[in-house]
Amino acid sequence: MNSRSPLRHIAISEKTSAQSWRFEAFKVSKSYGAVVANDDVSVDLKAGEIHALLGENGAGKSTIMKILYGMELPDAGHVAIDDKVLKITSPADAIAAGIAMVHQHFMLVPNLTVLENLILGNRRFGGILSDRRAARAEISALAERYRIEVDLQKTVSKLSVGEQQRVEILKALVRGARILILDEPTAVLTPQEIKALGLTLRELAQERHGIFIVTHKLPEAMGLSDRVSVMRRGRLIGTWPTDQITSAELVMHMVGRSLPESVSRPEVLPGPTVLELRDICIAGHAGRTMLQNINLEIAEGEILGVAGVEGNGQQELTEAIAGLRQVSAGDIFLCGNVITNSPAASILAAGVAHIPEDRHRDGVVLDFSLTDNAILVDHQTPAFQKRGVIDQGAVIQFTDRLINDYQIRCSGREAPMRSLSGGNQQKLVLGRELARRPKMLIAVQPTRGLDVGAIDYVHRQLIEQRSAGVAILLISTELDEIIALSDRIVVMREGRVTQLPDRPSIETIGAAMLGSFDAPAGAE
Amino acid sequence: MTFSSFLELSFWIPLLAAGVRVATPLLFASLGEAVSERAGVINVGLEGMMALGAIVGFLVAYWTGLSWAGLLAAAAAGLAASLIFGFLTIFRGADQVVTGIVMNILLLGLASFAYASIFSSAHVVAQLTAIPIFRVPWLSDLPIIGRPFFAQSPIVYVVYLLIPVFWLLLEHSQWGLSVRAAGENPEAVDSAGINIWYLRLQAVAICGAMAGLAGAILAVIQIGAYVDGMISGRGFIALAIVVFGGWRPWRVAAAALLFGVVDAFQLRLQVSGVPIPSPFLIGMPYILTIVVVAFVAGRAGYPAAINKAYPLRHFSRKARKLLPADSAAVHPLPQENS
Amino acid sequence: MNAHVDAPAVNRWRPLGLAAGLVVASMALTGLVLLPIGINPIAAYAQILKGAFGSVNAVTEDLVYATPIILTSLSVILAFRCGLWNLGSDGQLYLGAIATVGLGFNRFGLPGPALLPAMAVAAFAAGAAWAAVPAVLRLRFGASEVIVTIMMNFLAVTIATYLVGGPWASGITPATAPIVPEGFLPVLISGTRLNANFLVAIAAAAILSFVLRRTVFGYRLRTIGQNVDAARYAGMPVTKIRFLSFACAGGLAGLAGFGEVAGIYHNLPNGLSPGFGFTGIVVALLARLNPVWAVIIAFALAALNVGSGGMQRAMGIPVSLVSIMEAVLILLVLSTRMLERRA
Repeated sequence: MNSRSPLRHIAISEKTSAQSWRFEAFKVSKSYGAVVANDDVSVDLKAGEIHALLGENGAGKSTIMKILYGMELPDAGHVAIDDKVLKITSPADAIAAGIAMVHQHFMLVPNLTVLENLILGNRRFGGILSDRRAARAEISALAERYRIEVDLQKTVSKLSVGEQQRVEILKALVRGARILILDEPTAVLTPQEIKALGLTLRELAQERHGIFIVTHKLPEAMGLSDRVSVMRRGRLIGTWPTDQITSAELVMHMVGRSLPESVSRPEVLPGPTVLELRDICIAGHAGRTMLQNINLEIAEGEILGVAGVEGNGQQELTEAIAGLRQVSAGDIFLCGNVITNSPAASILAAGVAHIPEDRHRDGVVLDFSLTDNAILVDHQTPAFQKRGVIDQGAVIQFTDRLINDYQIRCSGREAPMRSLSGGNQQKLVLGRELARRPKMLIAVQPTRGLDVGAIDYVHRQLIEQRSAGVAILLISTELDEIIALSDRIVVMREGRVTQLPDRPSIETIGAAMLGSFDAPAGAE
Repeated sequence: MTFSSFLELSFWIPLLAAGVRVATPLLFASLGEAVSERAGVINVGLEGMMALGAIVGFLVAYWTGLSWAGLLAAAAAGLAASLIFGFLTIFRGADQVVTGIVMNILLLGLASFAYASIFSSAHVVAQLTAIPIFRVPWLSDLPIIGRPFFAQSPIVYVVYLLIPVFWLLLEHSQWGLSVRAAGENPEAVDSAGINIWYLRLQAVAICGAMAGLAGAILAVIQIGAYVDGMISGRGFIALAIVVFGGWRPWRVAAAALLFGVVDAFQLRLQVSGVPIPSPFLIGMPYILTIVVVAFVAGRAGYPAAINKAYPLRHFSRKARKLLPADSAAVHPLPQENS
Repeated sequence: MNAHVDAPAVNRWRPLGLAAGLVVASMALTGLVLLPIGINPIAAYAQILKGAFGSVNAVTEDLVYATPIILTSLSVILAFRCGLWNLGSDGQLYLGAIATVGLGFNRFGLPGPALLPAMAVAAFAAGAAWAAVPAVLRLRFGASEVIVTIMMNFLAVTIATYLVGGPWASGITPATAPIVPEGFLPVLISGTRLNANFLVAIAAAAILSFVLRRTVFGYRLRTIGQNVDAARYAGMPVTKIRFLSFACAGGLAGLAGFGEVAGIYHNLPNGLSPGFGFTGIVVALLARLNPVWAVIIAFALAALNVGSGGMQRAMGIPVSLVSIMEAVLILLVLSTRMLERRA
């Protein structure tokens, strides 16, 4: 009767659960300038299945998914349902065809309410004036149907990451999507939240939805999917039923060679304490605390790994140590000297080096040449300037040395930083920071966005620095990385640090990330 | 003028009436600007668009003898100018501030050029006939607020209507929801299937038409003549009003009224010959703008995506050819019952 | 993703060809506004050329006009390079002029040779102080410097008009009383108005170019303009450097005011600046924020302005044609995205 009810299609889909369709991208190619993102890629998706698209960062997974969703257009190839070619040139076309996408960075407007986000651009709820009452009733019913708990009146900025993801999935369902594309859905979730997401997706698949999951994490691809495809360097390597392929085989396909043995860590006896944090607190907005009574110690030749889901105070912690953020209480000591709330310049000069999390924002100036980037931190030192005038010769010599020593691939020292690949940019940052011969190195997500070779290289460099007696604070959301490199591990959650026993298991770390370390995990 | 005269209603009522008058063009411009900024496009070219509206409105009203024709033409001219601005900032990714400033140079030059070349020989200043004020029956007899608010030129009543219209449009319509989202997270708008570029262009076009009208109100209705430099910073003051009003129509209206009253106050003091050096009087609206921008704007949050162009999708000709010829080629998945 | 990083071989002459094409296109587009008033654009442009280069005196006049706009464009460039908009160089120019005149009456009894340098320093300081207001409001309170500098322009003109009409009135012309002769800048070519401030402007461009490219201060300034976060990360005193740059930007504009008073008028007339500030912005944008190019472009635009004066006298075409042409040219450049990178 009410032709607008979203419950209608659910009822139908239950009745016609045998109904099948096949959605495919056929021989799709796409390049950005000289970079080939997709080369002759064909993938398909059937009703009722979860299909994982696995690959390294930069393998072209996101590109093919954006093409399916109309946010990019292919240079060749097409998208089809049951061999009927679709004209998808914008997300509007994709939505009309029943496709929805949950992006890695959620497409929510932070200062609008959940309801407003859900009806954004949805013609069913009004062309010019919106019919909110009808919208609220419909959406509540739908949320209940899928047991998605979310407060429609809440402002999105006040939701947790997990809740925001649920809003995104609800948004797809409100639009009546039958095909869901999830881009790196687990990147920001705790292990337990990942499990809950898996249950929701399985339920949707049972109702004959088709789901693409894009991920670079092997265990999740194995755990969530019915079929798995691997992409490497813009090409589709193959597609297999998940239960007919092993993790080891998938890794081979992903990297083109077996993952290197995890880096060996020679025994190093930790020396005296280099960095010490005593009861560090940082006040946030509106009486909240960003950091609460942080106590940490790092010794010479030691790597302290800080695990935790992003946004739990890691950024504030590094900024406090590096002098980029005011500490409201507590003290920070570097080799016994108080450096609390000192200017960043003096902390850097005192021997702290910092590989920032967001390379493009903090670590480099993209429109500067390599030479200009090489002296970003040390431009003041006597080696590079005399009486305020920069010694161009010394800078060139230094840059050439970095390019050589760290095998930075570039068209020359005057090339703009923008023209380098992520791995080569990171090598320059790493080389620049290590050249400062630091006593203390803060490395935040040092391998984010790098390919396997570059990751291996960065890991070896960190171990080498450890052997040389540098104290290293390693902050990463990649548990494997933390476990492989660290001498000791702590977990950050909601601005607090949880100390863990020596050699903790993944489960222990996961529990601490959820805040249920003391009452052991898995309780549900 | 003595201090005690400040305490009398006979000082305040005419002052408020003048304030409403002065605020009217400012409000037209700032309502439009609020829409544009909410969509993520800051139009610094407001000043120029007002000047263009003033000259076009004046010329058309002068030639036709119809002030409403002048207003319409001014709105069209402002809209046309804003389309150039919108094309460059939205579709060519040009910096909004750079483009806005250059638009000012262009339009102020164009206005001045048009007036000078058309009226160069005439030594008399061309004047339009004044528009009589219209007393709203009953309302204009209300104590205190009656005269200032309801014995005004008819255009003032139009602006009374426009405030709630803009409020509904911006804060309570589906379109306004998209506009607000476009200013905060344009990618989300694109991902929701809305044509973000066209949406922003619509917002910019509204801003341009309103700025053109604002200029014409000044020239055609309030002064009855065009004078070079007559906008004298009102476009930039309107920018400040938008910030002061927190991008919300009702508050923007209140902010515009405040600026109007201050300007009227300053004019009154000048006429009365108080011994205050003129820069402090003439400069009062400018100083108020600076104060407002400094102490209110600093804390106010501009829309997050302001002055950030949303990149166009790359359409290669080859890619277009690959698409099916029939444009309605989207076949929804079999979810309908047939 | 290991992209090819080799820069494609670009034809060196292509940008120049494109620039020439854009200039021609902007002249053609601007010519359209001449058609309805029954004037042949080519005749008008010929008059401009004649007015700009028709005599030795015309060429020196071009340089005279170029002097203040070199300085105001450097002012815009200096602020923009560290990420701030200085739309207030007109106002800063007025303040420089006011300081120059104030000192130029020499009521303080400064010895003759010291007067000129004192006037220059005062002009620089006054421009810097006027610029310090928007700088502080921006850096301390986050107030938009775009709006504040524009408002400061109106205030500066108001103050100048007040001084001209009131306390410093000469009583005869719409200008202040003249400054003492010791305060006149030397003329470079006798019989013309070309004065020593032209050399000051050229020197300022050279110094600014050197500072930006070769010094620690310039490096920091460029870094801040390109990526504030990276600058903070590297421990640079961002606020201090931005303040200094903005104040110096004001000082440069102040020097333009000094030159106009001490070199040309020898008093402060009403309407001293015919929009030198905004022409400075045009120059800065077309020069892509490069101080050396700014000198060249300033000369070209000065010639255009001087020539258009000739055109107005000969054909009665308003000089505002020039601002239309300048704006059209930048809009065309913007539409071809030549301004995208500002390193």
